[in-house]
Amino acid sequence: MSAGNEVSILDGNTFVVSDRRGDMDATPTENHGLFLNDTRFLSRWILTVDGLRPTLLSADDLAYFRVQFFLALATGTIYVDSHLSIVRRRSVCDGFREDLEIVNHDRQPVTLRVRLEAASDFADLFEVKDKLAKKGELYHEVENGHLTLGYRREGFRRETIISSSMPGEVREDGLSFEVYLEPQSSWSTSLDVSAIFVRAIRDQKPRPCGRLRDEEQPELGRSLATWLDGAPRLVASWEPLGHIYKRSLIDLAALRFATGVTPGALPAAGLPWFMAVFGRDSLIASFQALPFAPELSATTLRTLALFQGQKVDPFRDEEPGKIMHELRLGELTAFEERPHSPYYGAADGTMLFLILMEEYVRWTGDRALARDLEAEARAAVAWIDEYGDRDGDGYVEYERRDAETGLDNQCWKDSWDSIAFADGTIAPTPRATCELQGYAYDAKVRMARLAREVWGDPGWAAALERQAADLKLRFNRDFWIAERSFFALALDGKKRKVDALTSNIGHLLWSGIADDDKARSCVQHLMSDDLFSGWGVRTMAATEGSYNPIGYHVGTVWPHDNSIIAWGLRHYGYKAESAMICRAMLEAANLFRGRLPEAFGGYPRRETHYPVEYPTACSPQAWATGAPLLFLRTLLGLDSDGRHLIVDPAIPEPLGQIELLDLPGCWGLMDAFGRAREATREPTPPRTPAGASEAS
Amino acid sequence: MEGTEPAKNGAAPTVAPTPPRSANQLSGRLGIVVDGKTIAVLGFDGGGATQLPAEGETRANVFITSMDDFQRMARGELNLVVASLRGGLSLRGDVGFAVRALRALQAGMPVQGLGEPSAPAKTKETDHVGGK
Repeated sequence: MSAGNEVSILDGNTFVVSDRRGDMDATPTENHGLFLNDTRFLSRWILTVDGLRPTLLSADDLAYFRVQFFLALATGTIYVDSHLSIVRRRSVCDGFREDLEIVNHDRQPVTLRVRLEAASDFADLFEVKDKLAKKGELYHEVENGHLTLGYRREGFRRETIISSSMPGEVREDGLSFEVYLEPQSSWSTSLDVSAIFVRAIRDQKPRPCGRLRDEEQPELGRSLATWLDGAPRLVASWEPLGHIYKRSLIDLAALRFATGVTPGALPAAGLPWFMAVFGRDSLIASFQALPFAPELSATTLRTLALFQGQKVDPFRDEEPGKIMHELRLGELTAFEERPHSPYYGAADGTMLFLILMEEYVRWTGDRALARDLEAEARAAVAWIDEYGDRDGDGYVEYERRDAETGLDNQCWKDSWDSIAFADGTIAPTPRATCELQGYAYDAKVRMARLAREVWGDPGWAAALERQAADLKLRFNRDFWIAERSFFALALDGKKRKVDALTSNIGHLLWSGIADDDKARSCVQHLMSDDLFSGWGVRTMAATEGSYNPIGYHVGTVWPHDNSIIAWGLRHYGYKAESAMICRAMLEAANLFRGRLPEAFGGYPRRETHYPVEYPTACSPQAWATGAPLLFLRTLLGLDSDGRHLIVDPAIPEPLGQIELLDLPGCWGLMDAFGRAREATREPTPPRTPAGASEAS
Repeated sequence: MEGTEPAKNGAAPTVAPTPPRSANQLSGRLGIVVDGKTIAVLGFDGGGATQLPAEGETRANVFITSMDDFQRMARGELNLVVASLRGGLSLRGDVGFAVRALRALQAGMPVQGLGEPSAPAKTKETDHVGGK
């Protein structure tokens, strides 16, 4: 995967970031290295031939886990061709393997000194990000032709072992080879770089690392080829859509993360900083991908259930029944300088867990999962009222329990300035953002369905439905800003309405908590120039005091946000508006070469022929990767009633015809077709669209 | 770092863990290995854990530095992830079962006192060391 001057390959939470020559030279501004489990195991890896760094000819991304670099040794003049070709072929696993080949194209023999400089700083990802100093001891060992780079701090010990298939000189700072090449001959060696967890426990073998990643590696489940073959087949008359779809599937495959504690893989959040299990991100990405890869949802649900909160732990923001937010495996987590073991500071993850569970069961018919996780579901529902509602006012709100390490904002807009009044004033905590109430409502409605249909508890189902109805009534009263005709972004710590106009109101349509008349007003705001940039709905309207088109959550456009909004618009029957968002975002995706970034600038489309990149956006990022999948679902109006596939297309003219073949679900495999015709604006009730037809 | 704090509204601290949720789904034998020796095997069957003779096949083994650490972990005083990252804990065999079992213990599943060291139990296992 190439971005700017960097090339990244990855597999689960292992990734290698280098420059385009394949060299790694970590500096405060270059985040190069081999990273595994949130630790940088290699920070320097530089190839020289006769003391010179080869120049780049090309870098080929063969697959997300494999890359090859074609290099040559410069002659110093454009009039003399290089006679040396150098190829570095690199594959990632729990380390990486690099096959280095040098070819002498000359008619004369040549003797070369080939050298690979190696070093590691064993930085925790947060140390890299926050520029923190190490507290332990670095060491080196040379033994049996292997170079070991190590780090220890009490029982925390990590090593990088570097070995070569060809004999060479191994020193503490790298490996060197004297190479004699006859004319038209080549020399090669395989370099293994293995990342090792060293444990003090007797009888415990070091963790095996450095296996070559190949397409048959079993622990990732399906190989890339099988993964692609197993996904529904897309036939689209708008040619870029096929490329966008395939890019999403490949990126989703790359982001698959096998935890080892549950079968299968779930989506990690994003490269480079978020190659970890995240509650919210994994849940939303799984939701987006559900019609295409339902197994991701099952693994996400089972994994998050395993780590469901059990007690009140202020450091980790843990509470009984709460779904975790983030699990990290680096040194700062090990020494509890960061709370990610796991950290529970997200107020939405628990409701999203319930929402995905019902959606998954309804789509796949896998009632066994719901039966297996009934206790966890009940605990999660209990969390909503017992702990999510911190002050007993009937709304879910959040406030971090540890001021030093906890997250200030525990909703998806988790940057410090995201929850602000229209005049730009930051809202004091605790904050009850509007979408949290929508999620709570939706979660209870969905759990009522499972309680009645799977768990055989109609009494609880009725109670949940009463609670949901009451919440909807109160919410439409307490969050509505009559003078501006939209829902407040939040209620702040003083129960004041935080009156900024934001994209959060779009999530309320997904949840179904908004009254129809109020939804209509919100739709008008969402599609107005203030919120809709022409590329997508901005996180914050251009009219608001905090608006910044390149502010992380205060003006940028987020693809996942738009995918949820577009899906929500469909629920309320706003097909044309939904299609407009889908079309704009897919056109943006095309201009981003098929891969939507985490976020991009909120500048008006009429001013920019291309969407403006956000400087530090993650790419690929799981829920941005999943967004085109949810756009496809939205365009075709795909839903399940628990038995049949429902297809209710609303496709704008430029997108022509869309066919999705072999959609998996409780019906087995089914095809869905749609073609452009004038979309209607007739409202349809949520999740049972009027005029919907069963699939062919 | 774990501690107590008012749960909400300044009410009394809530430190007692909730009852084990998935305990009724747990079934299998978990070996506890300290210093290379299996010091106990816990049998999980339905809602509780029973100490069994430290012999025979296990579904998973917990390798841990000391019995004291195991007891701290079972009481919820030692975080599983932290212990694993610091080299003091490793799980082998059916890791998912091991994590569920340990979490159930941490959540208050009753278990009798643990036995004396004995010969290592045979583990029907595949290699796995935490993390990924």
